[in-house]
Amino acid sequence: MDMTSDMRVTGAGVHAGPAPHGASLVLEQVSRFYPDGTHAVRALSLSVPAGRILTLLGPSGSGKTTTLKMIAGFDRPDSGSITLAGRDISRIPPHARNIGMVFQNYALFPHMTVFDNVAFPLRMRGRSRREIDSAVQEALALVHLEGVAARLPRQLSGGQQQRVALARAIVFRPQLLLMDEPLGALDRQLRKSVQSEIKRLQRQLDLTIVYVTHDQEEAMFLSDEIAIVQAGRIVQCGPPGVLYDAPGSLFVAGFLGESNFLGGIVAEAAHGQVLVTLPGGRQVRGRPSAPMLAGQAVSILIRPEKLHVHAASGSIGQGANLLHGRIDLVNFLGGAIEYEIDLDSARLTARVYLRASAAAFGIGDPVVLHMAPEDCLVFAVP
Amino acid sequence: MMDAALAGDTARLAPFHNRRAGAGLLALPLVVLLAVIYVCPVGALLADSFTDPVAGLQQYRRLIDHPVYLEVLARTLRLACVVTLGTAFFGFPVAYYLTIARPAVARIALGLLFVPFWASTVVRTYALMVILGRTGVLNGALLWAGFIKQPEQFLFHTATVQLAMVQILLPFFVLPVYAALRNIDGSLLQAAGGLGAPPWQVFRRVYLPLSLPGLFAGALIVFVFCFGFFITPTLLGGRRDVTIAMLIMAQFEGQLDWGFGAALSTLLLACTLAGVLVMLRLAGKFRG
Repeated sequence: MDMTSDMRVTGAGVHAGPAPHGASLVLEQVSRFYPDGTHAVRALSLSVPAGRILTLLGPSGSGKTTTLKMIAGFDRPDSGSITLAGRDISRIPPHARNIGMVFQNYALFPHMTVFDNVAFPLRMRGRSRREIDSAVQEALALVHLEGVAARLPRQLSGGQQQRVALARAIVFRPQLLLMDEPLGALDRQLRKSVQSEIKRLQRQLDLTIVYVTHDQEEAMFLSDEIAIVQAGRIVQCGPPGVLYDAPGSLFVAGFLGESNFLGGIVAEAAHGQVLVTLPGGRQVRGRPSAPMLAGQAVSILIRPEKLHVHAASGSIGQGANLLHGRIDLVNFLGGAIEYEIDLDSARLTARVYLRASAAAFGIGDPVVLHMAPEDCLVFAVP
Repeated sequence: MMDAALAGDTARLAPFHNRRAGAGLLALPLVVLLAVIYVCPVGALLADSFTDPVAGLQQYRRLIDHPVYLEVLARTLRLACVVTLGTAFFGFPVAYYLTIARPAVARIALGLLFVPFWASTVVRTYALMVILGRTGVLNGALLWAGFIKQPEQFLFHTATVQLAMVQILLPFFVLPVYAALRNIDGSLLQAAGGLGAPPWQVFRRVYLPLSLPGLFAGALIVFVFCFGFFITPTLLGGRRDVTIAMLIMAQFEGQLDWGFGAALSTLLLACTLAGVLVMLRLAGKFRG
């Protein structure tokens, strides 16, 4: 617990000296082929304004790490350009790029002390001994590791190693910080505190960060913008709230946040609304994600917290956007309760935040589900 | 039924409960073998050096009194050092290449590295004589090409011995070094590059330090082999290339002076151990 409590940033004089701010990064039409000719990354374009965190979020093998490696210079794009602070860096070797990187396994040099690890990028830049001493102290203070400078990486805990890697990546004030699933090896509790720490450091040092993860919660927590990557291309990019509320595709909807899906056929489409007939004959009104035609097969997305659960006995019974079901499982989450509800033709999860007024249901209780049409996002099924 | 099954499980597990004690027994045959064919003879030899033909230190006094013996020892030491450095010079790039080559290519290269093991050192040394001799392949080729007018003497030079030993011992160096290099995490090299180190600095500051334990392991094996090398210097070397092993051989076979031979053997053993200790110390220092 010591570890988490000492994670607070105390603002150790970081802005002393000429602190170059994070720079803007632009990728334009970047492609990378595998030797067999298939795409690892295809015509990928993105732009990160200076001082922002962009997260590449996608399943493993989607090309996000390849993209990161091309930005760092460990891999070369087959076509396209990578521009950092207005300068095309795609043909510059990694050591001349001035980009910091935190690796998934931290990649700390095992034969060097913590001090020497953090001093490494400064020594490579020919800084004076005095400059190095103070910069290393400052960086270690920033991640709350003042006491361990003389230790070897293997003598540190995983969380401490992670912070050394972070200190090493920012000590030379890089124009861009790349992070490749840096929290993957940490336990849940520690991960949460390191996430806040990264966010705070980012604000304090005005860092531009490209972050790679497959953890959607982490992505939503950290990012100014999230780029959802699938099969080597960005399928949607935007602020977390926009992606959550208005996902552009079923893939994005399913990948970001928890979702319920109801399959059906479009009965009517007009005035920015569609009426969908479910297999049981009931009808649900929703918001179409794209223009639709009657007779089209669709899938309706409803977030668990947008499902309102009512007792079946009350006055509500018939009408649009009402579904009858039976509670099948009750999962207590602390601040909320999750009900898994069996319908005739589907199974939905509803999340109810606990308030004094909220009625509690038990397994087997008949319930009526209500959802607002604007919370039912309708996607065409490919 | 349940109980029977449980009892069976316990019975099956029982031998594993004290498997540490059992495992010690597995080493027993080797311990006995080593005791009989190594520890006892070496002990007897050590004893001989102090008792043959009469008890006393006279054999060791003789070693010191005649500078030739220590000279031979120094020459042997120098040969071992030169050959060790030579194998490192030629072997390190090969070991590195094996780690970066495509897997299929690396497999073939490793296979080729093992080919020399199929022939004994004696055969390989004779083969070198055939190549390097006055009427050998090399002289023939040079004569034919017109580089030389008459056959050169390539044999019986110190450099020839060194080269031959490097060639013979190379696999013993390359294999442990390759194993060590393969374990170096590639992301460390990327990290060093990303942090601003140009390739030469990545090698000097990260790759080389991390490969030192492997380098020392390989060098140690080669050094120990060199120190007792006998066949190659005998066949390929000149009069100046007498090694301590050859002197020992002469004492036992030619002079029939077992006491002095034993004293020389003890000296060789002590020097080898000292060399090993020095190298282990160095390796430990670099490992940090």
